Amino acid sequence: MAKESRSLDIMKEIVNTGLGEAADALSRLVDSRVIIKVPDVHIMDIDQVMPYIKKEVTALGVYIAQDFKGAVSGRTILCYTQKCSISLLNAIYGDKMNVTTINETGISTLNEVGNIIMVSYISAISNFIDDRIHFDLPETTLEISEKYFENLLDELKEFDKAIVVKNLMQVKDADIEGYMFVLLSFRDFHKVVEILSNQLKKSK
Amino acid sequence: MMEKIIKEILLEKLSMGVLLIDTNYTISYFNNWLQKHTGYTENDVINRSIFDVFPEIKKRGKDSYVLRCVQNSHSMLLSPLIHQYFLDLSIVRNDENIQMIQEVKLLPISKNNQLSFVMIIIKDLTEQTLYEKELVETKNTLNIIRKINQIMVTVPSEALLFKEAIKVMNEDTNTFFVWYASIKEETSQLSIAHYGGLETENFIHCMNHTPDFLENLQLTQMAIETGECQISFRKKDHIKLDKWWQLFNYYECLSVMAIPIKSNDQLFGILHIHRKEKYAIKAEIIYLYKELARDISFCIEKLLHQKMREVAEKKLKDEYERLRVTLRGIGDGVIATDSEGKVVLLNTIAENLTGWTEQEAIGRNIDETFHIINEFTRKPCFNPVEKVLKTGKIIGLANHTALVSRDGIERIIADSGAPIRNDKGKIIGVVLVFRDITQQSKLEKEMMKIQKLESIGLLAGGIAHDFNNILGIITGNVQYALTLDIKNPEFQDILTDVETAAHRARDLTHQLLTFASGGAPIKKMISIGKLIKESAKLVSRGANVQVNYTEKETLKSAAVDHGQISQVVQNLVINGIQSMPEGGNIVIETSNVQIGKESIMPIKPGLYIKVDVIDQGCGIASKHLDRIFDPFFTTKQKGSGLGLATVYSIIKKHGGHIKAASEIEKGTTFTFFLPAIENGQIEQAQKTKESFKGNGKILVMDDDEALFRMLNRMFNNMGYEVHFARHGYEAIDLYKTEMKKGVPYDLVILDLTVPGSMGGKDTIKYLKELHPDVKAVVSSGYSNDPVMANYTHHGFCGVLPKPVEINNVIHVLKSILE
Repeated sequence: MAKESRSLDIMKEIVNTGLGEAADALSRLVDSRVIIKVPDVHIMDIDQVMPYIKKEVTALGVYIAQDFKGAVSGRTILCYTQKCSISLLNAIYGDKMNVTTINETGISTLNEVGNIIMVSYISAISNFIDDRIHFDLPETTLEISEKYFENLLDELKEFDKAIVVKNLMQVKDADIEGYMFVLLSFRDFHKVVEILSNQLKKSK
Repeated sequence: MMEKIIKEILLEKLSMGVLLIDTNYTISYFNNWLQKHTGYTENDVINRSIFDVFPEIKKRGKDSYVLRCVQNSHSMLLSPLIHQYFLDLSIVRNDENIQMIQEVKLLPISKNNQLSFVMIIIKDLTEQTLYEKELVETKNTLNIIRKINQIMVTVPSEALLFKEAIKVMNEDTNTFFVWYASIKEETSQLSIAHYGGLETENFIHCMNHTPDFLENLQLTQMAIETGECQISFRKKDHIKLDKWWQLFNYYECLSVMAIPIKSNDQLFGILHIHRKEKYAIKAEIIYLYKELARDISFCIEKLLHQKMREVAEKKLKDEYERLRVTLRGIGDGVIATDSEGKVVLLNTIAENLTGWTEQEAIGRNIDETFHIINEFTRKPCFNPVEKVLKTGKIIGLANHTALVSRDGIERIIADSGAPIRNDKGKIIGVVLVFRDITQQSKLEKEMMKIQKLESIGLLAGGIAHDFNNILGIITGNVQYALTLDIKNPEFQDILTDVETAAHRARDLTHQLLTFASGGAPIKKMISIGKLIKESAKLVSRGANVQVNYTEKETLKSAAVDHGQISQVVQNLVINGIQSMPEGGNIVIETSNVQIGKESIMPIKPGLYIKVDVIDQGCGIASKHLDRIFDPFFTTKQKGSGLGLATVYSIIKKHGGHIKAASEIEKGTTFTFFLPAIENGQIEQAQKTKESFKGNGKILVMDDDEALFRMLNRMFNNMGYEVHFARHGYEAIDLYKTEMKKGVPYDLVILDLTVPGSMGGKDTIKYLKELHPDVKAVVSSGYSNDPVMANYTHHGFCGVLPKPVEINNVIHVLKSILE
């Protein structure tokens, strides 16, 4: 229990660092102030992820997934409702365009944003563990049906642990609530926790 | 082999740009797609730094992505809407060279945990992006139209329509400024009615500070002239429409649509939509805005019609209200029905006359509320509404129609019904106008009675006048003969009988004359109460009837003919006595009353003395009550039928009124009114002397020679010389002759009326001219003639009523010659 609590604290710290960097990168990109708040971080077993998403994300969702490998391997998934995704796009586009649906250029934009957030976070971990992590290109999936979503989550079975980050992003006047899942194997999860724990001790 | 094919397909056949750079940013692979689009061959770029080959990457700050990818092994993604492009590549689209919009992926490729190279994948998303952009624009425009159409459904005014519509249009980020110039129909004058958008303040500034503003609105004028949508682009039309584009010289104002808002035959104004497109606004967007303009035009037309309808409705309502107020205020009863005879309006007077309130009557059949019968037959009259609806003509009700109100009160009404027609002439209802003429009807009956009595009186008066003259000769001569020394007593008795009979005949003639037109009252201020009391006492003496006189208050004075009013009282009391053969009481009550304008009695408003003579007799049948004042009408066996007729005549001649009310076996009440005088002085009665002696000359003018002879004898006996003239001309001649002699007549007696010649009224005028001091007396049987009543006004010194009585002659001679 104490170990799990410690893991959570470490993860929270990393999350704050990583998403702080993501906010900076997004600010530069949209040329406006971006704030990312993290009201909640969980660590859960992989079989809890699906019910959690179903419970939390009641509306149709947009999922941006990115695999990473290197020092640790895993997958990051960013999850927003479609409404939040559209708000995010309109906040980014500003006066240029006002969209009401997500089309291919929108998906491309969400990919870029997702890439920045996810890479920033995982890079923070990479920086802490002082080892390289390589990233694949992100992939955005618009939820089409529950079955499709279940199939998507089936792929998660190869993982054991999930770091769930509930985040609230403010871009211009828009508030975008979303979830980020970092999925790791037991081995990599504990590896990360151990290395991070050691690194933090050293730094203190 | 397979790997080679897949690699070839992935790198060369997917229409994407692929290039590889190593950790030194040197290009190691450059696929055909890139060669085609950049114009570089592999030889041109291989082993060269990407930043050297494509300097725009650094120039646009996109090198940071490459650096991060290489240094941190971070995959990077540059989305088209944010970055537009990575490499400066242009493509031809619609005959135009435009920048290729790209999605760029930077994928670090590692080997043994070490970055080997970075693959840069460039995808052309120009068509896709522009298509999506257009799709978004079209969708946004459609949304705008949908929202504005929603507004149109409920918007109450043109001003609010434009305010809201412009607000909605400004929600489109491309449509940054919208304004509407309205055109006044009467003057064709253009004025800025509504505007909205980012540049509102500048626009207002523009309006206020550009003196030749209207002249500069070239595009607006073109739209007005052609009635068609006009589109202009700053870049293309800046010379052609120089004034316009100088006026809208703002950075973002790159294109504009000027769309006429019009109906079939009326141009309401021009809607101006400023957009950010540098070049052609998409045809789809133009089409949609034209659609919107049509919708707005339709809405304005609808609002205009609505406004006109509201104005018309208000006018109609006002008109209806005015009509309603007028009808309610009108002095006649008005009922309007629909084409089925159902009441739709009932004014106040109609409410009072029918007993139905408008609220109760509306929707009911006219028969229910307007119940009319014949006054005499009591049978229901025809339904006027039905008749009007059937004939389409204006109709009037028959005479003697009585309206029976809801509470049973009957009123005689005069009525007319007319059709109400719509503008096509179709009958849509009926209006009944009626008035209560009950009082008028009574008055008319009264007037008819008066006229009847007057005509009878005229006839009777004519006969009585001649008869009177004849009687005058008989009585005068008999009286003269009786003054002579007659030895034969029998002859004297005969003469006395003749005189008595003549006196009776005279009384009858007097009565007839009094009833008719003769016997004008010689009025004097007297105490009416005393006169009534004495007259009643005199006539009731010896009768088995008790007369009680009650003076409710001190009576005002009245100017009356003593004898005539005495006769009235006597006649009424005699009537009462005769109606009570078994005896009883007669009550006479007097009071002062003020008669107002509202009185239906045929007398002038003012102060009157009211006298009630009430008996307890057998009463008068109602069928006789209307005729009791008719001359010669009597229900008594020995009655002359002149008593009440005379009473009526006397009261009328005094300016009063008499009426009777009676109930069989209960009694009759006669009520008469005489004009009273406030603070009148009562004259004392004078006694007359019965003998006179004098001398001098008297001229008598009369067409009756017998009368002359009688007067000649009478005046001779008194010591006067008498000359005779048959008419006025002869009288004037004689007077002239005597004047020339220097001895004019001491007295002239002129008959008022001389058939076929000059009578006394005109003769006196000439005589006065001849001799202003002439002393003349007017004589006539028509004592009601105005000349007789106002003799001094005509130049006479006295009156001598006919038949001539010796006492009257003596009285006149004494009053003038003594």
